This record gives sequence, C-alpha cells and structure tokens, in this order.
Amino acid sequence: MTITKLARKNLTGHAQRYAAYFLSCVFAVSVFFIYAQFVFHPDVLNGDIRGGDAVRTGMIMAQVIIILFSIFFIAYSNRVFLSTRSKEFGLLSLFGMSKRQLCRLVYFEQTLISATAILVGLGIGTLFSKLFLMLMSSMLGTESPIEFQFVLFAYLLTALGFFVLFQVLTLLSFWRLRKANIQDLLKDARKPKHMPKFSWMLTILGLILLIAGYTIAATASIMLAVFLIPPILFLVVTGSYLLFRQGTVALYKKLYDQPSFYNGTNLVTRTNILFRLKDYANMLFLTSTIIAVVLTAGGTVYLLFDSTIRMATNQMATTIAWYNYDEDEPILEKETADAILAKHDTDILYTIDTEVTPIDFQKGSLETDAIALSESAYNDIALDMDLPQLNLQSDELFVAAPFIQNSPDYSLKEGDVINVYNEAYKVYDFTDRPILSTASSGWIQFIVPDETYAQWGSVVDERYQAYGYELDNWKEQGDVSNEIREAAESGDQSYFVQANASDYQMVMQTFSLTLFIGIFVSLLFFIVQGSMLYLKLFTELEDTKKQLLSLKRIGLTKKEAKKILGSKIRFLFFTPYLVGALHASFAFLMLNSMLEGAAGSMLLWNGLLVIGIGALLQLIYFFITRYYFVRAAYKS
Amino acid sequence: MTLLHVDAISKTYYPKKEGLSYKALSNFNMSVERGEFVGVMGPSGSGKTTLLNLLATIDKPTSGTFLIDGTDPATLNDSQLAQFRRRQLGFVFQDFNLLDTLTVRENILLPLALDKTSHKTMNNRLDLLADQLGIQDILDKRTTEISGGQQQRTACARAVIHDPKIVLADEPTGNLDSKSARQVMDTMTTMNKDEGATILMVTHDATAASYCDRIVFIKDGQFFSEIRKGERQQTFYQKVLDTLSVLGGDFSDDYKTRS
Ligand SMILES: Nc1ncnc2c1ncn2[C@@H]1O[C@H](COP(=O)(O)OP(=O)(O)OP(=O)(O)O)[C@@H](O)[C@H]1O
Ligand SMILES: [Mg+2]
Repeated sequence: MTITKLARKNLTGHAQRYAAYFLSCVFAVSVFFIYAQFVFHPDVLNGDIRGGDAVRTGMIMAQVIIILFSIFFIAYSNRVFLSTRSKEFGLLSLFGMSKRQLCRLVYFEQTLISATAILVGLGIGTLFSKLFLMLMSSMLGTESPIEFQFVLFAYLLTALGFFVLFQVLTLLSFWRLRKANIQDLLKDARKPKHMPKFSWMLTILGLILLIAGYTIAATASIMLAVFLIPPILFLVVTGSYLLFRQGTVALYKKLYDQPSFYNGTNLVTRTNILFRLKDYANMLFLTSTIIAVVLTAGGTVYLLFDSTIRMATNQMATTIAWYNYDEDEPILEKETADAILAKHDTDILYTIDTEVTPIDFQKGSLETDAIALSESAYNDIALDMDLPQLNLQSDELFVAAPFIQNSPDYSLKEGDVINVYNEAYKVYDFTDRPILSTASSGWIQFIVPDETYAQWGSVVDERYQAYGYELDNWKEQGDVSNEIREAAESGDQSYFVQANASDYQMVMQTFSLTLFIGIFVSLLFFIVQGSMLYLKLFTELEDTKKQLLSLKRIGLTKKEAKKILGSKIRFLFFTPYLVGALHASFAFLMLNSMLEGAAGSMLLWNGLLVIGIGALLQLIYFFITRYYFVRAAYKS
Repeated sequence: MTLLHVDAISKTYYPKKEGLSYKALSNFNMSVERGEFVGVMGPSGSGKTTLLNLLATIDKPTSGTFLIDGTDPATLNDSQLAQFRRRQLGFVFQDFNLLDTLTVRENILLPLALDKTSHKTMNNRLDLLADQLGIQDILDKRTTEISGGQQQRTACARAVIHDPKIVLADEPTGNLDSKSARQVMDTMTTMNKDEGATILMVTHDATAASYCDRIVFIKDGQFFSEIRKGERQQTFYQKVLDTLSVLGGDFSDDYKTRS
C-alpha cells in the first residue's frame, strides 16, 4: 500500500476522530474569511463611518486579534489532534514504518485536510456573510449599509494565509515527531494528570496587578486617561493571566478542604475541573479577554448611538409639531396634515391645537425670547401627555426648555426670578420635556396663569398657533412624517415642522454603518469565544465518555451525570464571562470619567444592557452546548 | 438464607443490523447464600460476563427473573436502578474502573459521597477498611501512581465501603501477575470473612477460584456442574482443575457458534 493510499484510507476510516479537527479548521477559516470579506469590502473601505478614525483603529485591532486567534486556534487543534493519534503512530512505527514514511503520511493527511477545510470554510463563510447582512438589515430596520459582494482579495488572502499556516504547522509537527521515540508515542499522550501546583506569590502578584489596573481605570482623570490606557491594559491583562494560571488553582484547591467536597457529585465535578485547570487557563484567559473587548466596544458604540438618537428625538414634544406664525401665510395648514395622516391611515394618539404668544424676557443681564402658553391650555394638553396638572400662583411660571442645559449662558431652575415686561416672576418648576414645538422662540416655553397670559397678550400683538400630533408607534411613521414635512410651505426650511420619525430615520441611516461594524465585530467575536469553548469541550469527549461509563457502572443516575457535565460546562462558559464583564465595567467607569460624567446614568444603563445581553447570549450558547455535549457523551 | 435467587434467566443478543441472533445464556438457575463466596468458571464465550452484567443490572435478561435480597430489579425504573446498584451492589472489574482524577481515598469514598453520607461515618468506615485490607499507605496517592494490584485492592475497598448486599467481581485478577493476584484474592477473602460480604466472582484462574467456597461451572450458556470446597484448599484446587479439563482444557478456543 502506498503512503498516499494509506493517508486516504486513514482519513475515510477514522471519520469521527478527524471530524472534530476538521470542523475546528473549517471554523477558523470561516471566521477569518467573514472578517476579511468585511474589512476589505469596498463599502467599508470607502464608506462614511461615524467616529471615523477610532472605529477604524478598532477594526485594525480586531484584525490583529482575529489573526492571533486563527494561529492559536489552528495550532492548538493541530496539537491536540496529533497527540490523540500518537498511539496510532507508535503502532505504525512498531510495525516497521520509518520516521520518514510517517512524516510523509502526516504530510499528505494534513494537506488533504487543510485544503478541504479551506474550501469548505470559504463556502460557509460566503454563505454566512450573506445571511449576516440579511439579519443586520432586518435588525437595523434600514437597508443594509453594505451590499453583498464577492470580495476577491478576501478569498485570496484567506486561502493563501491558511495554506501557509497549515504547512508551517505540519512542518513543526515533524520536528516533534522525529524527536519522539516509539515508547513515548505508545503511551497515552494525555494520561498523566498530576495535581496542579501553584504559587502564592504569583497569585498575589496577579491580584495586585489587577486591582492596580482597576484602581487607575476607575480614578483616571480625562487629562491623563489617554496616556493611562496602555499601562492599564498591561496591568489588567497580566494580572488576569496570572490569576487564571494560578488563582483558579488556588481557589479549587481550597475547595478540597471544604466539608462539601465529599457531598454528592462535588467530588467528581471539582476534581474534573481542578485537574484540567492548567489546560484550561490559557483558553479561559483568551476568552475572557475577548469578552472584555466585545463588551467594551459594544457598550461604547451603543452609547454613542443611543445618545445621538436621544439628542435627536427625545427633546421633541410630539411626533409632529409646528407653529403657524401668521394666519395669512401658514407654514402648514392643519387640514393638509390631517388629510395626509388620513390617507396613510395613521393612528393618532392625540392632537394639539392651541394659541401661544411669543414674548421677551430678562434674567439678570440676559435677554431672550420664549413662547407663553396659558395654564388652562396646558392642563388640557397635560391630560393627553400624562403630565401633572398645574395650579400656579399669579407670580409663578412653569418652564419647559429642553436645550437650555446645552447653552451655558442661560440657566433656569426652580426658584429663579425673571423679568417679563417689567414684572418679576418666580420659576415654580423646570422640566426638559417640551410641550410644544421647540422651533424658533419655542426653545423656551413658559406656562403661566391665565391672567398673566392675558396681561402679556395685551402687550404683544403677535399670536402663534401651535400644532402637534402624537402618532402611535412613532418610530415607524417616517413616510407620513416626510410627506407632511414636504407639504409645508417652508420650502427647504423643513426645520419649521418638527418630525421625530424623520430625524430618527436620518440618524439611523448615518449611524448604521458604524453600528453595523460594532454589532458585526461584537457578534463575530462572541461566536469565536463560545466556539472555542465548545470545541475544547469536544476534544475531551472521549475522556468524558470513559469517566461516565465508569461512574454509570457503579450506579450513577442520569441526573447526576448531567449535573457533572453541566457543572464543568458552566464553569467554562461563565468564568470567562464574569471576568470579561468585570473588565468591561471598569472600562465603562473610565469612559465615564473621560466624558466628564456627561454620559452619567445613561452609561450605567447602557453598560448594564450590553453586559446583560451578552450574558443572555452566553446562556443560550451554554444551553446549546450542554444539550449537544450531554447527548454526545451518552451516545456509545 | 438465600440472598440471590436466579430463576431460569436467558439472554439472547440480537444483532443491530441483520445477522444471526445469539443465545449467550439459556435457562440459567442458581442461588447464593448470604455470606457465601461463590466462583463462576467456564470456557471463554460461555456467558459468564453476560450473567454478571445481568446481575449487575447493567443489562436486562431476555426472559426469566432474579431476586437480590427479595428485590426484583426488573421492577425498578432507570434512576431507581442506578440507586439500587450503588447502594445494594458492589463491583470489581477486570479494568479496575477507578477514576484517574481522584486519589485512592476519594475513589473508595465515592459511593458514600454520592449518597451524601456523613463525614464521620465515611471516615470511620474508611479507617477500618483500609486497616483490614492493608492499603493505609496509599490512601493519598493517585491511581496513576500505584500498581495494578494496588489499584484492584482499591477497587475492592470501594466495592464494600457501603456494605452492599452482594459484591460482583468479573475476573478481578485477569490483569494481574500472580503475586498481585494473590494479594487481591487475600483481600477478597478478608472482605468475605471479616466484613461478611457475599461475593460472586467470575474467574479464569484456578488458583483464584480455589479461594471460593463453591464454584459453579457454566458451558455454552448453561449450567454445567458445581463443586464445593471441602476441608482442604489443595484438594479443592485439584477438583477445579479436573472439572476444567472435562469442560475442555483450552478455554479460549472453546468457541462454538449457535443460532
Ligand atoms: N453485546 C453483545 N452482542 C452480541 N453478542 C455478545 C455480546 N456480548 C457477548 N456476546 C456473545 O455472547 C457470548 C458470551 O459472552 P460473554 O462475554 O458472556 O462470555 P464470557 O464467558 O465472559 O467469556 P470470557 O471468558 O472470554 O470473558 C459470546 O459468544 C459473545 O460473543
Ligand atoms: Mg468475560
């Protein structure tokens, strides 16, 4: 039998053993390709990216991580694969196969596997790129910012890069193979599981580094933040590496002395993890770092997006709002708007149609304009808007002004005294929720008792008519809003008619590429870390099966077996997640101080949201993995 | 008093795909008294492991029933069966069946730990047993650090730590050299005499068999004959050898296929 024939027979004969390795290779190729296809896509290369340079730097960093991941992952799978087969190699040498022939066998085999893996990986990658784009456009509710294309460069880069990687790894494995003697090979390569050792010194050092990194991150001032990032990264990364290598062992050894150790399946679950900790440490470290990066990046992009959307939309009174300044030359007739809304069959929650008076006022040396609304008119609107009713004293006024915090020259708060037409009034309360359109004088809105309103009205001739429509499901009302805007007489000054949905749509569109990149990279990396854990588990399948059989023979129930498997998978999936989330939390803290606390509680909620969503995804991943792993472990 | 009562059990293996079904055990009867040490011998392929697997409730008989201390395992569901196995039965396997992530001590205590026995009971039991079986020195070693004989003695200790109704052993000395085999058989005898454990042991080895009180011979899945130990171990050993030669001297080649 020739070597080529033997290699081919080996491949088809032990299909199952090769499957895990082959799938790992296909997976790495697909991930790399999907990313390359994305980075080298003309729409991304030339597109308008919000936050431009920062996002591009992030993408380059992600690229570096992807490359490192591919090399690490393939090298790891390759080593595991060859070591599970070392016994077979030992037998072959025992039967007189020379080292040279053995190397040729491995070479043919590896080349065949890698070539197939590259082809399949490219195919799957292409398919998933397409699927992903479809998913994204439905998620963003807009056209996908990127067209699906066959990016030739990505294909070439992936195919060539991985071919070289596989060849190099194969050559390296020859070197190992040549060094080993038959007896080494025959020994079950993964057998010895010594009680892992650890050093208190290194554990404490890791802890100190980590805490130092966190402390600096949490207390950094904006001036220094940018310079502090590299040392913080160094401290946190080194610290958590040491903790994963040493601290986890220390922790699990501690569990040895616990009385609960000899309680139920604990004996098995704890030692199962303890004896593999050294093996797990690198992977846990890597996945936790990936999770930290994903959560931080995701949280930051989301914060950027969310605050822009809020700025654009939340500071508006109703879905559509405008003033007609002059009865004879209306900006937009109410009837026109009604007709358009009727045509679209839009559900209107409530409408506003009320008279207001533009006024001037002084506060200290500052003088500016505002609009005034009578208390009784306000109370009617407040019923619809679900705002509290007002009952003001004759010298009080209520202020609604969304933008005033953005203009440091002006400030209005509860208790301030202002002058209107030579009379002093006290600010009864202040809100940033506008009642009417915020266009022109509407940027500050005064609600005053009806007598005051009448009094000011006698001074000022001008009257505006204020209109507002609150539409059901406002985010979806872009088309109606646009049509109403276009119908306005304001020509190109569409600003006169405020339309929430149109602005929302616009922000979504300008932001979609940035958001797309954020979600894309986050999801991709999320899948990468989960799959690493998944594949790692499956490389242990044989050992697990053996252990389960042993336990089943002495009377382990299926429920207990599931518990044993579950606790290990839980450990693998959630330890890195917890650590990653902790890293990300401190990154958010630092971001907060860089933004001078401007993001405030929003950052907190966005951070929690991103961490929560990530946890949910990880949980789903955990359930899927557990299901398949338990099933595989039970299949004989 | 009868502890194990086997009533006409048969086991037929049906091939997964097509092919001939194979009757590995047919209408087999036997009973074991409490405190007895019974050996089962027979040529290779005669159905000894099959019998033991049925009694161990790892496999189910095609027909017939058996009672272990009045319980018919066929009436139990999967999870009850697992509980039954770990509380009422003890096992010693040819391949030791120890977990390599556990120390000797942990391996022995495993059945008690699974049942959440109190610490005190566990330690008392272990101390006593380790003393009797002479394995105190290796309690904190890992299974990869001890010899085959020591591993099998560990397995023996695990088999009796929870005071099972009956210990089932399948060729416990099959993987051992003669010195280790003798040590393991001494251990089994101690378990039987001092612990009062009832033992059913399958073996190929006439020396090992001579430690038993009684030996049941099995051939082609059927009861063949039975001999009891008299006064002297030496004559018993001779009788075993005689029966074996009647059975057909070369065990491993006595392999007949039927349908
Ligand atoms: N799972 C199975 N499927 C089909 N046939 C089986 C199965 N297990 C055992 N047999 C057959 O049943 C017969 C009895 O097997 P068993 O393992 O009980 O023999 P044994 O007496 O233990 O032999 P040995 O001394 O070699 O261990 C053998 O001929 C074997 O081929
Ligand atoms: Mg057998």
